[in-house]
Amino acid sequence: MKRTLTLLFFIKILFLSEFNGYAQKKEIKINDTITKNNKYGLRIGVDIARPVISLFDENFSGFEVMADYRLTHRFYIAVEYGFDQDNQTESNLIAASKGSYLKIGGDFNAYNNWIGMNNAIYVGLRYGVSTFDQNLEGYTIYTGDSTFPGTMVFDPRSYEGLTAQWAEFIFGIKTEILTNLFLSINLQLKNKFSEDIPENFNNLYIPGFNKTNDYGNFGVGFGYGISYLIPIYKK
Amino acid sequence: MFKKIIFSVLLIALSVSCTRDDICTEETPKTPLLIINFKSKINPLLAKEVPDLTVTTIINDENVDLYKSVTRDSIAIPLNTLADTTDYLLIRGNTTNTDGNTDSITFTYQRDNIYINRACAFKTIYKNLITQLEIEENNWINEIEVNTLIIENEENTHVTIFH
Repeated sequence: MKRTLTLLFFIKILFLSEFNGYAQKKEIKINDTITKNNKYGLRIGVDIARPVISLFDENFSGFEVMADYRLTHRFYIAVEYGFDQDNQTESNLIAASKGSYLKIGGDFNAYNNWIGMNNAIYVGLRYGVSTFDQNLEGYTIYTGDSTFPGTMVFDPRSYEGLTAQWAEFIFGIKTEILTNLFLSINLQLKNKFSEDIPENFNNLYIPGFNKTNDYGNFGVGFGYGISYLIPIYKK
Repeated sequence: MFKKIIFSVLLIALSVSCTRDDICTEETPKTPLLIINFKSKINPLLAKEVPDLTVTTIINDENVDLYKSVTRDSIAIPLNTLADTTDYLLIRGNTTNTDGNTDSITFTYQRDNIYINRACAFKTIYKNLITQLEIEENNWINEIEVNTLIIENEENTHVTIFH
């Protein structure tokens, strides 16, 4: 009887210690998962919509590179740099714009990720600036009268070294499709606050800002990017 | 919260994509017509109608009538925006039965093309207008006076013809 009790005691201790040990290990594991999966680093990428549009649309060519850096749990600083050439071939105007642009700002990730995931539904703000050239090739004259046949007037003029500045609101989604590789799609709403207006003409297209509007300072754009995260540290 | 943001973003994107600047509206200031008033050669302050007036120009060797046998004291006619001169024939007393009296005027001017907007492109304004009446045996026009040097709208009379 005494021997049986002693044996049971030892078995109990063995099991208990086993259980204790297992529980402890598991706790450590959970801690590891939380800390190691918040990756901080530099994410660099390219816009994939622009090269595709360049292939199919002979009036457009452009590329854009982008980067962001994670500052805190939700905040990222972000930049985009690109080059656009756009030909405006309309029935009454033939013009072309080309130039480069830079956008600097930040993104706020509003999405609550599950442990181990790095997706984002984000909103962002940018300051955008572009330097560009515009060429006017030809135009028609609006008479509202059909007595004299109207043809296009070819009167090439070029306006060089124009600049424009705008503020931009971005709304987008980023998904990690492979480890450290992200796909993103975003919509951009822009409001132009400064521009050089060419004499006796107007800016029809501003690289980075896209098509302008005669009746307001609004512009829209979208981005479709692929980017790679270079992890620097984990938190 | 996010549904609201997505909705408002889509709404703005839709409203922006359908912009007014794709259509050149009628109200947009366009290339002005030349406004001509007819006045009496006896009393230069009095408007005087031209009976059965026909206004014709020649385009590609074809006569184009802008007015046909009308009786009025003012006309508005276009100037060619692709040339520095436009010729007009002003025929007085032109009816189905009578040819009337034809006077020929050459308008010479300088052109400036002014940008309007994306949909309408450009318009032309005219400067330094000169009129030249072809002198013949039986001119019904007595005198032509240019009232303004720059023709940029249709608010005022540009040319007065006394007859």
